[in-house]
Amino acid sequence: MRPMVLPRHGLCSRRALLRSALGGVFLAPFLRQRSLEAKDATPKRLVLVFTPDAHPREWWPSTDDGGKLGLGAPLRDFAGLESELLFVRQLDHSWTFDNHHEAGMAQLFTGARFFDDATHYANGPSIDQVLLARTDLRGGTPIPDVHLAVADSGEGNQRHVTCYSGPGQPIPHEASPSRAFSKLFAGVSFGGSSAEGAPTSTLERELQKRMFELDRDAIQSLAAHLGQAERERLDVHLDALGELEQRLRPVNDAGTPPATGCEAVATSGVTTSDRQAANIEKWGQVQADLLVNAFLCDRTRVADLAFGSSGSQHTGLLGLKNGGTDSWHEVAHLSLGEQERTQSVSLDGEALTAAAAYAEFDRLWAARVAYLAKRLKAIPEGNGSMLDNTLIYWGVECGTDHNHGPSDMQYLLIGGRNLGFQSGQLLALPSATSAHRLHTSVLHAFGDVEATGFGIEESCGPLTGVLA
Amino acid sequence: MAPSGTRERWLAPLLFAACTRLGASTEAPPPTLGDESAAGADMGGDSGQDSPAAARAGSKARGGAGGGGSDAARETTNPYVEPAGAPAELPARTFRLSHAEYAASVEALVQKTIDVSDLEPELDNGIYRNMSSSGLVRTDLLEEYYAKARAVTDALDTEELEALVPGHELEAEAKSRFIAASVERAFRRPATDAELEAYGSLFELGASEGDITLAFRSVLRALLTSPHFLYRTELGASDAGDEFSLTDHEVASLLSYGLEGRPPSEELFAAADRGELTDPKRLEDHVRELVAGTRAEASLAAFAAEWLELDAFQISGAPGDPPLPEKDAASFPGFDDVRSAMQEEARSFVEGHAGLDATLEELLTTDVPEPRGALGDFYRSGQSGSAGGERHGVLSLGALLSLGAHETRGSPTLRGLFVRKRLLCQEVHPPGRAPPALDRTQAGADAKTTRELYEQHAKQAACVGCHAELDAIGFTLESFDGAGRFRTEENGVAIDTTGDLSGTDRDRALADHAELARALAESEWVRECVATQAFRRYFGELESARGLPPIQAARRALRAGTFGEALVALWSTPSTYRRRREP
Repeated sequence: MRPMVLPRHGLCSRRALLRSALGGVFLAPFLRQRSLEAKDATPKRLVLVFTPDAHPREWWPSTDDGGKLGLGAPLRDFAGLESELLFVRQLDHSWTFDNHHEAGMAQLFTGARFFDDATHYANGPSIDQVLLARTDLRGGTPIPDVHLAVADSGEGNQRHVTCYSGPGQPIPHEASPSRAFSKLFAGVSFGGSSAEGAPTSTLERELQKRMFELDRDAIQSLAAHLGQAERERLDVHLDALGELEQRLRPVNDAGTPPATGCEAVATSGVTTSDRQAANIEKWGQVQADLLVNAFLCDRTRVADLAFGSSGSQHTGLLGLKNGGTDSWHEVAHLSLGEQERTQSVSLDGEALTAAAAYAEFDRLWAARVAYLAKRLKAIPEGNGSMLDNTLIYWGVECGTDHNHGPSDMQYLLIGGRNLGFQSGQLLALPSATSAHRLHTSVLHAFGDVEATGFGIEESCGPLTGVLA
Repeated sequence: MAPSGTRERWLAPLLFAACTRLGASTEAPPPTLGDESAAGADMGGDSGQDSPAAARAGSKARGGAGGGGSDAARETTNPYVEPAGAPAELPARTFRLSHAEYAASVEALVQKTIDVSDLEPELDNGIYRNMSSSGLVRTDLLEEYYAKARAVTDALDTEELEALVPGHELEAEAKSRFIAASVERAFRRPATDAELEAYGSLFELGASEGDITLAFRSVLRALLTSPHFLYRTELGASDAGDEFSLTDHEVASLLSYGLEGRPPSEELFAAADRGELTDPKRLEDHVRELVAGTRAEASLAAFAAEWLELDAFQISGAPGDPPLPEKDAASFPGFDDVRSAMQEEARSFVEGHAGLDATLEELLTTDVPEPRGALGDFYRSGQSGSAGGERHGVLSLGALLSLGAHETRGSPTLRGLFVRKRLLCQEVHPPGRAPPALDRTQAGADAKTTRELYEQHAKQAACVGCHAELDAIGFTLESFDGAGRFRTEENGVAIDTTGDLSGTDRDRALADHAELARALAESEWVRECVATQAFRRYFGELESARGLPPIQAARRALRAGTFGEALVALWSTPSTYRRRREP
């Protein structure tokens, strides 16, 4: 099968994004120099979540006559959060290639095709980056977005990346909680620590300002001689200059005081192995705690939390024994066939059907997502909770039962009640529908109300029934 | 990076329908069968293939495989076709320094070594780590560059700072000389008037409160974060047209970072000053000088390790994880004890036989010496391994054999896939629907040998169409188990190493891996593939068309020449200095 590669156009261009958002030609860094005082009184937040290998059919909820959701085994840690969940059935990805793993990853949150036939990166920005460019989702927070990994090393190839800043521009994940903490809370005073890196004298500040100007001029002079794809790569550097200038803006000697309820997160005790459930639970908890505290401190409002990678093996995790290969990806394969899914595998010495085992594997990741949702739910904000103002947008790369195709994709929207999401339902679509329409609804919810579509389907429109 | 539409024209012929044989001559390379980028994960653990038995039967019909013995007279299905020439011009670009190149460049400017291990990890885009399209500078990395610049310039004591100033005096009068020299070292080209003025202004600001050392430090610090320092440029002169030649200094950087991993030496810089690097009559002489150096030897070894995926063989794993490839201790006792020796064997063999003075034929066919000591004992510790055990060429290295395997057994599929992808540059597409798992069928349970297991598995309908193209290659290495140990039988059944090579210009039935090695060594497709891999790695660029001059020049050089000659050819075409502006 041939990949279908479209030329870059329209929505895929960072400059085009910015132009459409602002109605004029501005440089990206100017956006980043917004006043920190411009914070929204009722912040909106977005967390993209990825878990590996798709979900088994048991992941879909049952509904009673009144439409009330009944959660299956993989989602039992979401008990009590049923009213926060919005399932959409019969969503399809709009294109595929090979076994869909890489096509699924590329379009998961971008709606784009491959950037090229070699890297299989996405040919456009992910929805978080679109919203950062076209709305005030950032709200003056010091860090535009954060991208964290659990049970994965944060590698940069197409099976590990979920977010893109533009065509062929993967955003790597930070797998280390301690490094993530340093990035998220640089300059924040917890117990008297002070900001690092900021110039301390008037002369130092003036020198640094000159250096930024020199670097900015240099990028613009280089870009003048380059084609679009190269210019877009330099745009990333230009954005970074603006961000760094903000980061190194001098603060008082004590650093930026934390907001109420904003506490440092202990990042020790994490072992970065993807094969022990206890490690993954701890790793996932710390990364989720970092996100929650980043939200509490209003350090950022946009995040991406990825567990594992597309087709990841996690050999032996949960004590899996399966005829010597002991790879969870192999078990995922078994879940699709009616005969294969009844085959026996062993978890910690206990014999289970492959289907039941796969549900346990899926639950391991789901529990980490539930932990994040519950933490947000427990934090009062406005008239409700932080979860009411936050959308956790959870996707996987393949169809139901690890279906190696683009059909019956499994996106779950968690929270976001104050954004208008009609939570607490299974929206059963009458026929197969493009997932781009769901993405378009999400754009609308976050204020990009003029979006007519998403990714390669620029006119697909939103999905009825998702938003109030 | 070239626009995707451009690249598609080149790659499209490679992407045949999964696992179908190529017909008669086309201009395309032989079909690659699929991209099992998850190392077998999506083949159902190895599943899915045309029946090897059927493949062998077919081979017999075409010339008598299965019983061993080569069949060079058999008609090939995909004769090599010389490509039409493609334009020499490569896309204009910037090329961010790799972390190692950055460290070397910092050292060249301030004469101090720095630690770059704490920089944001470099992205592995699945091709080569140094592809220019991967070189994004995001905020975190930029902050680290700024911090490094500050730290290294603050750490310069007065004596060290004086050593960087022409005349060795830290005085205001040295400003112009210092800036001109420093910009030249940092940007790998002479300074422009505008740069002299801008950095002169910064110098004066630094000196404005009486600390002259701050003036010198500030200029160095600013240079270390400049995009002109962080990127190599391939832009040509400012008044160049849409198709143009690079400046000689840009060529100097391309050559020196590419072949030596560092900024241009004084000698190369002087050659650029004289305009010799864009002179087709002089370019090759300078390339030859660079290729003759020890740094070029090291760069070739690094390329070979990446190309042959030997860098996937680990002595120690990530924190909390075992090293790769993992092996089941019960199946392969003692494997972990010989990891280091196995890695060293591979390193030594590849450095010796993929070195500047070696040929591709040597790499593929030279006998691997039987190791002494623990590794030799290990290789003979299999079920039947007391006699024989000859190894021929890189494919029979224990490190590669154990990578082409699972924890408990070898994998003809992974071994065949390696040959398809890395030596023939063929794409192999995994099946759209997951095939049945390999070990889970009764047929699988009844199999006594790895070969039987794969043959039984391949009889399943879902597996038809793929594995024959892979396993028929991998079967020739069946005399080595999943940890590279020699064997003549498996569970009491004699090992069958017959196989088949298809989809190349040297298609034939194969008796064993020695015949496979010889067939590959004769293949022009293999030479083109190796040249293509070298182009990607050394130029940091994907080929936008078949027939690019450097690839074709290197391919021709590989026919009878050494890897060193191929490197000279790769770098001595107009593609080294000709560029085009993309829209």
